[in-house]
Amino acid sequence: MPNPCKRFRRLVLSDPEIDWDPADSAFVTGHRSGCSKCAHYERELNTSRAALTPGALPNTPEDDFAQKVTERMTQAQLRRQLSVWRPALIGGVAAAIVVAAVLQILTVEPAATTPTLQRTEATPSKSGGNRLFDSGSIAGPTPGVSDS
Amino acid sequence: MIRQAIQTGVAYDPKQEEAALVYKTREGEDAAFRALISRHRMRLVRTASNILRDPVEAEDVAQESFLKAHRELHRLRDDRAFGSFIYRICVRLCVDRLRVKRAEPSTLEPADDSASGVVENRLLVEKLLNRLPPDLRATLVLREMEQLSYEEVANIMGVPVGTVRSRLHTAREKFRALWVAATDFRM
Ligand SMILES: [Zn+2]
Repeated sequence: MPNPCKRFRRLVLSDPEIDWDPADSAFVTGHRSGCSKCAHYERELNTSRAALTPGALPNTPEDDFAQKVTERMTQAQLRRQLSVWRPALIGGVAAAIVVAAVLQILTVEPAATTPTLQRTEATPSKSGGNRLFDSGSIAGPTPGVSDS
Repeated sequence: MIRQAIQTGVAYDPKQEEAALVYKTREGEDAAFRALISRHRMRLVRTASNILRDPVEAEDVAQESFLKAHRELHRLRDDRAFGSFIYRICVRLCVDRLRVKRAEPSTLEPADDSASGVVENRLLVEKLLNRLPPDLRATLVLREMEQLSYEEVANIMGVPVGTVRSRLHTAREKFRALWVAATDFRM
């Protein structure tokens, strides 16, 4: 047998039109008249619940509500597009930098090798002859061609 | 649309009209989406205000709901159910906001005797609702203020009806206790 005060409170915390059957209604009526503590509890509960309804905020949207939604949507789409294109842009810029650096090396290299060539020119080769261009010292062995 | 329905003798079906607007929105028709906004904005802002108790934030969340609904329109199975789809998005965004918000350490003092007007009542309700956990607060607002059925609340909150029932039970009891403490209830 459940505690009648507990049963009463469980019932009054629910919705009578949904959760109560006729036996529950009879029990609540009987217990209310016989238990002043539960009757007081029910009054507290009803007053607090009644406070909630007029506590609702009669808020209406601003006039430019739809306009703001559209603006935010445009901004969000821009952000999404940017997030898609940003890696490609960064990749493109990085590739451009690499290409520029390679080009610079290629264009600078002949100038940097000139002193070597001059030294080669000034130094007699091992074979004793004054060779203008010691290809082995600069380019190394030709790929795919053996020394023998 | 109603007049057109009367003239043609076809029964006016707002859900069918809604489905047509959703279809056109999917096709990229901005005017259709604006029509959906004007249909649902009032309810969304009102509900968000009641849950968040902050008109400015409520407006922001309602706008965000439309953005999200537009983005996730492909997930809507039945175009006629756009209303509940966006309402669900809005309530969930409100609950997310409440979860993120830091619990405000507000002290509860007994209400002033002169504080008996509607505004004072709203302020007190706001203070007390702030002290309820987000899920309990949203459930209480949807049931008591928005007068939704258990099934509707369950659908919106994405929980079984039994959970709604138990959350309501707990929320009402907590709200009663807070109300008594704040008003120094005597009867
Ligand atoms: Zn009792």
